[in-house]
Amino acid sequence: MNDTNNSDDLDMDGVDGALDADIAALLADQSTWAEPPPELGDRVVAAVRSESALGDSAPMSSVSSFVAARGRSWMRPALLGAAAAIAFLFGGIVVLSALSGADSGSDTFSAELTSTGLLPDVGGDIDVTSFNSGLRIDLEAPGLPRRDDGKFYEAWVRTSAGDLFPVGTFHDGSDVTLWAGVELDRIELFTITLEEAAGPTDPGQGTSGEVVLRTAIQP
Amino acid sequence: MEQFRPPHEVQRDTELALALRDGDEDAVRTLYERFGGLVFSVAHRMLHDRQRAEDVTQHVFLQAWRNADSFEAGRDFAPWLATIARRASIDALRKEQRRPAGALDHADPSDGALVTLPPSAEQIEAVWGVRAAIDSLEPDEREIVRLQHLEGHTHSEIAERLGVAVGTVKSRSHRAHRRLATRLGHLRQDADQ
Repeated sequence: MNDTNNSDDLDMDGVDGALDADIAALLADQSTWAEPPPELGDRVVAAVRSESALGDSAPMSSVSSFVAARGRSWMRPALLGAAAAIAFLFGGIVVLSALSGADSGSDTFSAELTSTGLLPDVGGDIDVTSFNSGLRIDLEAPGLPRRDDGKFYEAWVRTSAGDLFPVGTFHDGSDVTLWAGVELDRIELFTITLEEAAGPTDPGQGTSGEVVLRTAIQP
Repeated sequence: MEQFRPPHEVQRDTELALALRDGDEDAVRTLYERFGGLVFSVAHRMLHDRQRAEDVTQHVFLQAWRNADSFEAGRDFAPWLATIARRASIDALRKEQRRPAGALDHADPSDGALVTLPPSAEQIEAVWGVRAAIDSLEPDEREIVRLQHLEGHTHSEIAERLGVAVGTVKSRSHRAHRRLATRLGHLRQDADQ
């Protein structure tokens, strides 16, 4: 094989051998001929579509409106009776909480997370509750494949001023609770990135920028 | 890297750039169909890993879409995308090299982290140019060049494999190499300077 000097295989005027050695080396390199998988084009378009959708609409809804939309008229009589009992019970809880100094959450929101396409077929949602101590973010994204051995996910919130706050790291997306020391009305974006542990000599300990899930926050 | 382009190509690229600026998702697909293989090839050359080359390729087109406003309509997309691809690949390489520090004596000499410099812009230009040149060949010419250079077959072996006469292989190979030499002349001139 590769005996291009064989007299049977000589090209007509030596033009086959006229390419410069560097070019010939590149022609013999596997990378030069490497083809992307057929589905990569769809992934690129999906990632663009995901970002585009975030710019056009806010996949965000308050928990209260979400609950209201799910209400059914036949339930109203039963709910009226239950409401009185709940109001009494809730009043008791508020009094007890106030007495004990507990911080009950307020300004609760939920949002659906949109995939950037970096990981196929992932999604999820977050519930955000504002406390005096900060924001509690309950994440459910069970489709995220588990990352171990120095690899992990990291969640971030970005404010309208462009500040990026790390809000926690985790191995997989089931039943994750994150905390953010930032006011809800300052946040405009929530993201989850792929991260890997960095060595102590590495100066760049920030985000990898490889966002897998994200959502706009518009409380 | 920018070379002479016929007016119809300039017009086509201008329309594509304007569609990208408008956020047209079909324009991204068109851009990918034209340059996806080239970008993937550059990323693969730098990273030597298919999975990471796929990630970088996706990142490059997402970046192109995000930054379409900064691209001057009518210009050749190739140098712009090649630059994004190189930067994204270097970022991926740096990320790969972020690992717990250990004694240098214990490092494997083949460890990629010990290879200090990523490919230069000129080297990437050469990769891009060669890939673009082979993509411009007719499929039968491209296959012969691939069998000859990548797999190292002789004309006789290629003829046998493709079930055609040796003379046919020689004439196609001759034609293909003439085209490659013409398209890649600028790389050879650069090397001579």
